[in-house]
Amino acid sequence: MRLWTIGWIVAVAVVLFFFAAPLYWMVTMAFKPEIYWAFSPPPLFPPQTTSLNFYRGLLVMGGAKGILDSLFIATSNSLISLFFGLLAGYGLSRYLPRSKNLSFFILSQRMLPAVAFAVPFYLLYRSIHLYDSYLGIILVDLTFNLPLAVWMMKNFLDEIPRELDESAQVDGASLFRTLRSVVVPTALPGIVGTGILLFMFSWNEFVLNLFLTIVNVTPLPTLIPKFTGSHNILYGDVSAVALVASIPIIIVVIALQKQLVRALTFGGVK
Amino acid sequence: MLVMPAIAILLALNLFPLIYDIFLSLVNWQIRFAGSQPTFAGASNFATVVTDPRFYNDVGVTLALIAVVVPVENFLGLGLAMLLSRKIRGSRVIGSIIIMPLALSSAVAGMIWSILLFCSFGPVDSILELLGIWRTCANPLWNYPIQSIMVADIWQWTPFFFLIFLAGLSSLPREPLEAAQVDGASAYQTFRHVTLPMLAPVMGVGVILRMMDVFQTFGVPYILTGGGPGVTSETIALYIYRAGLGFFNLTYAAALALVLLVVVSVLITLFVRIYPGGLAR
Amino acid sequence: MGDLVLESVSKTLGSTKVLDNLNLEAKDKEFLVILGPSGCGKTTTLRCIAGLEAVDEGRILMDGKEVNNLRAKDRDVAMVFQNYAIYPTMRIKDNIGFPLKVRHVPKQEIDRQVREVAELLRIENLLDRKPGELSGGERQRVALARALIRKPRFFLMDEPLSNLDAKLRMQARTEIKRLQHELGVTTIFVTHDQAEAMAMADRIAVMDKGVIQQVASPLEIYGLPSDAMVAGFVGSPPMNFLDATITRMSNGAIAAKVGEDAFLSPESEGLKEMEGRDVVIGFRPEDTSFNPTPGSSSHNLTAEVYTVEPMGTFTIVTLKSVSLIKALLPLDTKLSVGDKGAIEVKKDRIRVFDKTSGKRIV
Repeated sequence: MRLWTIGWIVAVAVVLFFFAAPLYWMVTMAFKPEIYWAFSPPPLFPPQTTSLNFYRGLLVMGGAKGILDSLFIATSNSLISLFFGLLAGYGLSRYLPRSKNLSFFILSQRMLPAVAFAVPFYLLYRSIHLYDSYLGIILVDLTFNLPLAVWMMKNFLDEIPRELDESAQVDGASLFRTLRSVVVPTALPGIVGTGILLFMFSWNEFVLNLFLTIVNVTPLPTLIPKFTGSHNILYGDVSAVALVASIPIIIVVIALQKQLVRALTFGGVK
Repeated sequence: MLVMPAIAILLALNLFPLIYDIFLSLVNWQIRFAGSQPTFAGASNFATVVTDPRFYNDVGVTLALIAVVVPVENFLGLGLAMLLSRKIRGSRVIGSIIIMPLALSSAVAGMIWSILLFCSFGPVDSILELLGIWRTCANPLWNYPIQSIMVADIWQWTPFFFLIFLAGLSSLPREPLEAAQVDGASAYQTFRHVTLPMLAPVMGVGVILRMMDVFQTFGVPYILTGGGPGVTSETIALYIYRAGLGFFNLTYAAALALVLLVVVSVLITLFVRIYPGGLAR
Repeated sequence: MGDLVLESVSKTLGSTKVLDNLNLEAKDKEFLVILGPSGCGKTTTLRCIAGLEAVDEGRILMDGKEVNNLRAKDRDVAMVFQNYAIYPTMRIKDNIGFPLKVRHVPKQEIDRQVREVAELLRIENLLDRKPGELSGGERQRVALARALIRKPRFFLMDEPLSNLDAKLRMQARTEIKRLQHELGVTTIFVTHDQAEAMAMADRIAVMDKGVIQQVASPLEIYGLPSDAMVAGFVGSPPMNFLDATITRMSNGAIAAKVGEDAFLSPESEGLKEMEGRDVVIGFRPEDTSFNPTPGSSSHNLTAEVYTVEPMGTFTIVTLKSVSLIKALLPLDTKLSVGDKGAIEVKKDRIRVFDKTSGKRIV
């Protein structure tokens, strides 16, 4: 028995190290003054800390704008996807319950590789002046977020017994009222979880952003290559920006893991 | 009714690019020269794709990635979920730490690992030297680019499998597992004959999702190795990007994208058919 | 072969002491039923016997050997769970054969035995199906088959019939009883259904709040319950209870005063010593009758008909007296709501329980 516990502890320690160490490194790099960047072997703790990286990365290099841009895009897109997804999911759940094929078709839209959309949208956007615009990215992100939202919402709503809606309707509520006062509150955990997932996918989107933005809109992932210019790679700055960008998400993901897992697995687990 | 707006949007947004892609792949159009017009080119773009050694190289790279990364993440995630599924105090904290990489964008993950693996001041080098694995830096980003990508991907996405297996394990009915105990099965036998089959649907979903994602993986290779050295670690998505925005050969990029699409769809459909036990959908 | 002893077993779950110094014995080949209300600890007891839970105090002995530290798989017990616990991903024949498979029995032998057991339970036609395709009754028999195939030392059954509909339940009851008798394996059967317990058991162990209240044959449990809890739990409709004081009546006789000038006279010599004592009187509905034209003598327990429920083989009449009393009367009873009369109880069937401890005095 003891051997088992020791083995367990060792395994967990190794795992923790593997997953946490790189993040720790990012944190230390963010605070490391430039002189220490090229130290070999690199120090475990930065001997001095500086906030210069943050200042330069966020304000001078556009990190702050990048974060805000991504935030704006991801939030808008999630809300729009949730809205339409909720409606469609409700429609599918209540009015087309046996439409497995339709639901699956909608979901399969998500599986299309994002790159496949890159070129057409690029050309399209250039001609209708949506290139390098917020609206453009928000719309494009719908290609993968909306199907997911519809699928998730349908699954969550399937869980809520129809009798709930029906009793609301018998009580005199209109469809919209039913949704607002009965369905949404009940499905809230699922909605939240899905929202987080959608936000994450939009926030992390890379290729499409690269294709479709350049100077006006600068989502975070596209900024990162800009830090690694040909000569002076600003590791500290990019770490600082990444740190500031990642902390809110990490906090949200950890705090709401339960909902997130529910959302993830309602695509998968009964 | 309610479903229509969503479907309309989807159709518009998704169908349009596909059609446009098809159109583009069938023409010759020097877009970078203003004023040039598309001319019909039949299947010549596709012919180019099929005879393009770089394309095959990239397919090879991508497949290699999938073949390693997906099983590793799957079983590592499963193992972790099983380790942490007993309610031991601290397992929640440990779980939270494990899922942190998942919250990062692939660009950030790539960036972190590019720092870690960089010889001059990446700690990985120092640690491995300490452990005696190599004397002087073997420069993983240069010499083992594909493996570096694999490590970064595993680091970022194992937590995904961890999460879904955690949920899967906790939703397993307790009674069959107890029955197996009473029936005389050892821990391994219970796992192999009872737990694993019950987890198969969840596993299938995870594997498919991940497979699809890795097929079009872009961020990590782009940031970590840039596809290099040369094209040794270039993925298909990376090539499409380069063809499109780099060489500005948009028609070729479209053709590549279509081929990718077809390949992915076929493989996924095959996989779903073959997969024993069906999926949880 | 097949003797089970639980000695001073205690177990705490969370902050509740679920099993409290429990003592229980099951003899070889016996069909012992643990009967009790929900939450009394009967399932926990079964799980401790199986080895799925560890006891905090006390010993469990199988054939004289202490098995506290033996894991479930080494105890040679077979268990039928309440929800059958059939392995959902395996075909029925693999389900039934699983206990043999984990013991590395050769495949041909497994097939043979599976077929044998399946024939015994008449489920041969289901062998290639998957559990999801089976009905509740079929699944239950599969669970039984899986338990039977090992020819274990003990059968443990955790409310296996409670998920079946009434008709299936009756059938299954008979089948299980018959099977157990043929195979002669010591069986511990847990249920909250007292009719089931009465019908199937060689002996019943009535349990409440983690303690065994009484262990005896069904007849004894029914007729001579050790205390008020057992008396009230077994029997349907349940026993009637009335608070009373042992008093000397005006004619000098000792009786139980159940109300203002209402007396019941249990047959017992020992009543004389209990004068003044507070007791609870119990009598079963089938020993109760209603006399619409009682004799003039007072001291009767007067009542008024409250409801009349014809049940097919008899009629349940609820009478409103000091409290609501039920009587089981013949089918052709012609009583209507509001009829007045007196309640009469067969003297030798009146039970007297101490008010504080609940223990039976008479």
